[in-house]
Amino acid sequence: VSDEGRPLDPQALGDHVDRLYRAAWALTGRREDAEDLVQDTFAKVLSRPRFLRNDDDLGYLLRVLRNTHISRHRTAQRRPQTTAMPEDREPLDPSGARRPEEAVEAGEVFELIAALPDAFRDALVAVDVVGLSYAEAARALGTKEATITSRLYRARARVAHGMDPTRGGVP
Amino acid sequence: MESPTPEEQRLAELGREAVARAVADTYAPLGLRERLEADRVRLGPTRRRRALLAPAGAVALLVVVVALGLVAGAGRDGTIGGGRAGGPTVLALVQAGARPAIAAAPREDPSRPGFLKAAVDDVAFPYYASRSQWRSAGTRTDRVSGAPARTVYYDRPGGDRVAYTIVAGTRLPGLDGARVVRDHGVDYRVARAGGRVVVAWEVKGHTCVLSAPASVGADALLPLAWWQA
Repeated sequence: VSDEGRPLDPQALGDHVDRLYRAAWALTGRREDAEDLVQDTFAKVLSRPRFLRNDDDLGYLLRVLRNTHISRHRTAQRRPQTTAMPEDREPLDPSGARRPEEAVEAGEVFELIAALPDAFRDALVAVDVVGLSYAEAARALGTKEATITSRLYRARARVAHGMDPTRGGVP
Repeated sequence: MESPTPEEQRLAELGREAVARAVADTYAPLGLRERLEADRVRLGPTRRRRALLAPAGAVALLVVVVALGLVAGAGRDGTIGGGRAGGPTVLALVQAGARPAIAAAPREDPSRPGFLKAAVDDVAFPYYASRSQWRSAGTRTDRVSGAPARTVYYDRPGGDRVAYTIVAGTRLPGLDGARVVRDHGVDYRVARAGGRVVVAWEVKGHTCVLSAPASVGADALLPLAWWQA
């Protein structure tokens, strides 16, 4: 392995599409934006050879996805706001979810995650959505494992509370 | 963090379960996968070097590339079904196979023992149940990049499911780095694509793709690909 690290194999990116798409949906709260975010992320990664030192592929890709999301969000805030008309909306789940109600619930959950405070949202996306270990998530987000544990716990509780606000017990 | 109360713990667990369900039900749409694959091809090493050129040079290069593309395209006229631009890719067929069945399972064709009453042109789907545990479980038809692709699903006890997809045309792109296994003069390309294990081969001007979750394994797929009625 050279000093500059291990090269990221572009051929292997396809293995991570599902996880990154879920993460993108959870970051943006909108399926349409998630597709654009994943495509922008891949374009950025493919724009030049990438070398990974400490990251695994997925942790690295999540970091690029998150940075791309932040960058897009800042750019969008500087533009006039538009709202998609209802006829622009596609069917809820063209990817083949088993039942319509499952697609609805998935959309609702991702929307709730997107509305969490950034730190809680990032921890939950890294661990519960993407599937990183606590150590990998801490490395990808530049924080400590104990912090990930605490934020993840609170994020999960807030999601449950958001699905049914009559529930108490939000820490 | 202070020790959570039982109620807080219960709430966090409910949240974890809700997220797990949402994750399990969500897959990247086929259209996105196709765009990403196109980007991967477009942004290959040659393209990356071009991106480093000055804008004016890049415009001039683009003119040359378009012209060359037109010449090359003219030269390809008459090539039968060969991996044309904008056509289906093996990856797209794999993703079609990963979607759920939308029609009932086809039955054995009494007029063609060993085959199902399901075919694309004259390429019929095999009837595995005569000599194996794989039973046809459903079917669906998609248009993949404009080409009709039919998939028949086969299940076996234990819950495994394989997808057998047939589309007209050969030499489809999308299985880079595949291992090639030859049997009776036919090349079977074995690879991982879209998170699934895949075997692809050509027969009678058509491409056949068997795909399954990685847990099924190529060793289980290859005998199905080699199947002789």
